[in-house]
Amino acid sequence: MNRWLLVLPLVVFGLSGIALYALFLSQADDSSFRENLLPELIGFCLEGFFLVGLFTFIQQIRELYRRRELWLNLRSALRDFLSQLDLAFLGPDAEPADTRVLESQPQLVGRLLERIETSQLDIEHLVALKRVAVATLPLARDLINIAAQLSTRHMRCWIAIVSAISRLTEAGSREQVEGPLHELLTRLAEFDALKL
Amino acid sequence: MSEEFSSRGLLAYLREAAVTGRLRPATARSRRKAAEALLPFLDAGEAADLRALDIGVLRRRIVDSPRADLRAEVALVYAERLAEALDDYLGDYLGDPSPADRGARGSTPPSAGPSTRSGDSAVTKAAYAVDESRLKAESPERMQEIEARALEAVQLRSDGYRPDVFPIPLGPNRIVYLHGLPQDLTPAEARRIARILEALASTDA
Repeated sequence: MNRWLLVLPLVVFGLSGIALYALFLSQADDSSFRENLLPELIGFCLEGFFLVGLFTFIQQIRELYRRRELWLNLRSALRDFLSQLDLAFLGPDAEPADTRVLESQPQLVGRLLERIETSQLDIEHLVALKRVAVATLPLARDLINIAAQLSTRHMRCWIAIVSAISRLTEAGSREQVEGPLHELLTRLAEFDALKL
Repeated sequence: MSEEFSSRGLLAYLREAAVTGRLRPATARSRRKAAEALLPFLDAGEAADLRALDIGVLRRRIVDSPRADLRAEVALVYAERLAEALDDYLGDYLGDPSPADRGARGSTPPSAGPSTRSGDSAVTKAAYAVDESRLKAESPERMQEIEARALEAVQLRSDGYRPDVFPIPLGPNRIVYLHGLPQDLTPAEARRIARILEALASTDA
């Protein structure tokens, strides 16, 4: 639902309450609370403002959680790529990235992009990445529907990611792996930057 | 059985090695973490006497029965670090009299691709389709580069993924591969194949 439609009742109740309160103050005297409808209307506006605000807030939080779940589902599908790349650039005594970091930390993608631009992957990792692409492609294609539930821009990014994975599955040389891999990471960084 | 060849002995050594300066602290820490992560994969005999541990077998075990909290590719990296830790601990520190066996610990992981050096020049020619005289004219460095690229191409094209090969695990380290089964295999044909296999089976086993 459009967020402005949720804010509109808040604005109506808030402005009405302020206007009624100002009116009440302008004619306040000793008997203002007796046989006067204004305090009751002000109370009604306050109740409406807080109840609608509360429900709107809960609704927004629930929607955010749902979208976050969808986003995590999509990100988890690419975990194996990030894991292989993380291991490819792992220092001799460094610890591999935690699974949760791989699935939910956009900063990691930026770091991997920098590494892939400056370093060369060895053949074992190129082959492993191609294998991951072969295994992931059907799932990534199925998840286009999930990406579409987030937004059109998310869906476009995801389709570009699927296309990069598809090219990776057919790669027969270093360039044919590194090109789609760079594309995949770039699109993933864009995907992460999109607002949920 | 001496306690010092056990997994507890190894962990104690790695803790001590960082303090005494025998290993760099970061190295000792990474190896200890690797050992701690892989200890659940060891059977009781191996944990009690690490000399019985074969890293190649451990790798296969990791690939065959992965744990939810440890990604298989990470476990394989840990297996390499454990092999290095065992070489230090059993060979250099305890002076294990069978270092030749330890050499087998660093055996090729099961997921590794085909051999990388055999038939290099044939591969180069096949992959690049260039005639021999042109190859001879290249400098050794350029030739090396061409060969490396050709090998990469070959490995990437035969990446081990074979949808037409069916692995049938018979037991630890015993896997049979079925290849060439027709897509329209009928139950009668499958029974026929089974009967042929039955005829091949040894009754002594």
